[in-house]
Amino acid sequence: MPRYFFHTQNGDCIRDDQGEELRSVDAAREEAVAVLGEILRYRGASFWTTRAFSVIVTDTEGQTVVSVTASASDQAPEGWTLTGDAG
Amino acid sequence: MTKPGGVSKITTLVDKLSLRDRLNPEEIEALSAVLDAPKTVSAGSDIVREHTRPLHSTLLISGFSARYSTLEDGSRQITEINVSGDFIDLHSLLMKQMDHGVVALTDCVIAEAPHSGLIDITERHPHLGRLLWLDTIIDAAIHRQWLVAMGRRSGLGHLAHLVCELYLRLQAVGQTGDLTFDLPLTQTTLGDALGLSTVHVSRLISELRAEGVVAWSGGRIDILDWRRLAEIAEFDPTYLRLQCEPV
Repeated sequence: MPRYFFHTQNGDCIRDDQGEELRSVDAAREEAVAVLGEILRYRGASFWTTRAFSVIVTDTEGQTVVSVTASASDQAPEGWTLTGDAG
Repeated sequence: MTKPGGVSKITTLVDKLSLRDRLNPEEIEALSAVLDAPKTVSAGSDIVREHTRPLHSTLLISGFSARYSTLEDGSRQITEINVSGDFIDLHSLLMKQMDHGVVALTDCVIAEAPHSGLIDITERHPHLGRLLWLDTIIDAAIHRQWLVAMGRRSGLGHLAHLVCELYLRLQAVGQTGDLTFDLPLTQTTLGDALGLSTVHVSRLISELRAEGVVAWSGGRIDILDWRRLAEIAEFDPTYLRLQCEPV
């Protein structure tokens, strides 16, 4: 089974030197989203100090396979409107 | 089986029960007599299968096992880690059908007690029966604490809570050194127990290490700062009922 490394970027970059053996890229995607969700769950309002959190997954060659990012802001994302508010 | 051999298989169970209330020699003899000869189970195999109807209950003499349930997508939740001296499926005596499985996390030594013999104990040794009842109530208390941890504690608090709990449970059966104990479990297994991804568990262990709270390498944990660990965990040992009081 291929080995994937899950690095996180949250102001500082925390490197994963250990990695985890997973069946496929899909399993790596699943794990990346789980890690992002689990860590953000306890971050609370302090998330606004760094405003972004990413999980970057690389393979044994160091090539990025997938990444997932969450961001905090005081603005709505571009193109967003309240449903039914468009008039 | 001779008496000394019979007594050794129940040492950890007797240690654990006597911590809560004194056992008399007849009760110890009854426990020894109800258990069959010890046998080994290799790591990774099921000790008790989900949905089966066992006709005996199993005592874990040495090693680590886990109660677990699996979901259709293959994910597994461990609902309790069992240690030496735990009667891992005493529930099946009255529940009849297993609502969960029990897997050996390491190589284990176990001994089985036929349900008929256990029923006999409840009739002939009611005090011992109450002590075994207490044991299953403590299991339920452990499940409550795990539920609180799973739902509301931070990842770090949850891991710290598990370390505090296992240290005290292992200490009760003489399986610890001074603030040090063996926990030969993989991070994936710990993740299944904490409901967290392996990657997150690995980060949390690093965090506890970096804070100087524990030294954790291979399968050994040294607690460097118990007060701080208990503080992170908000650990209150009441649920483990570690005091000796008549039942």
